[in-house]
Amino acid sequence: MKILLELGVLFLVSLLSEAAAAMLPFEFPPAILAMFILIVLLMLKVVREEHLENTSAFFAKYMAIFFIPAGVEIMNHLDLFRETWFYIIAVSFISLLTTFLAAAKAVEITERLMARKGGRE
Amino acid sequence: MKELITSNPLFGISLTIFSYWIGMAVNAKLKKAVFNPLLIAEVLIIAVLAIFRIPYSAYNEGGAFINMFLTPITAILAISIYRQRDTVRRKFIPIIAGTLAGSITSLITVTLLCRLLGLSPELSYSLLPKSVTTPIAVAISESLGGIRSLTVMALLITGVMGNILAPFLAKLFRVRSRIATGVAIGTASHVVGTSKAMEMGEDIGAMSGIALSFSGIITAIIVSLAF
Repeated sequence: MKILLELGVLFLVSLLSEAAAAMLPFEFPPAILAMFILIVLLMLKVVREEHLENTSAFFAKYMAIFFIPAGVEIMNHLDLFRETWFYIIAVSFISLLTTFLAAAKAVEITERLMARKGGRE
Repeated sequence: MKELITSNPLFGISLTIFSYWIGMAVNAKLKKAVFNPLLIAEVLIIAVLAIFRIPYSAYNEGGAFINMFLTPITAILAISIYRQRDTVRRKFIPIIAGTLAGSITSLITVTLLCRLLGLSPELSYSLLPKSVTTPIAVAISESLGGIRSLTVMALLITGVMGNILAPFLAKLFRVRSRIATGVAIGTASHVVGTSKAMEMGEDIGAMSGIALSFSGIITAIIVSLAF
């Protein structure tokens, strides 16, 4: 019964978000809109954590399975992949380095500034 | 006979579940990021389809069902953000600063590199969200008109490299703060990197988990505003 209700809540929020995203004047991924709505509903305690605990545990554990069809689709783009795999790896590697560096340093600088400000007070 | 089996949506669903199950078993046995269960499952499925000459469209009769769950499983990320709300509240500014700087840097680096290499817009859009968590990245790629299977591939490559290189990168860039390390791993290499962050320490893992949700949201917002 409970899992049935959990899935019902989750699918209903997803359905409404997909409809709402289609009505937005700009492109926004419906899935992320659904996540926003769910966070707001949790904050407002309209939906409580225990309303979703079983489903979220299951989906968190097996999340990757839901991306398999999207990934297997690469069969339809094998020529493009064969031509570009090296670029994909190069872009992924270089941006991994820059992103890691930027994120780490931004946190360290912010922490240092906050510590200095906190020390002065 | 073959069509009797392959034209049924249950074929694609069963093949997906068993391939992933094998992927998880191999991963549990070998314990290496390169043997990512998702990657193993994809290779297995493509091999099965190629060997038995089954078209993708037949597989996708079932695949489409599984695909339908992408929105709900992204939405469920809300729970993990909500559970971390106390940590988020305490470290809000450093987390926002790190994920914002990282997300912007990722988008700029990918855009510049794609221009430099002369890649098609379609391919560039596919690579653009490759640092963020899979559900969000696929959603962004689709809304831009990218090829989501290439996005998934780039995501896996980035995640696996992040997982393997994370401790080395922290040393290379002289990152001393554990919060900074966690935020950097989560922002740069999503869930696959986060599993290494968990091994490096519970606090680093938690930060990485928070950072991957934040950078996903921030990236989605920036992309919808700027592209």
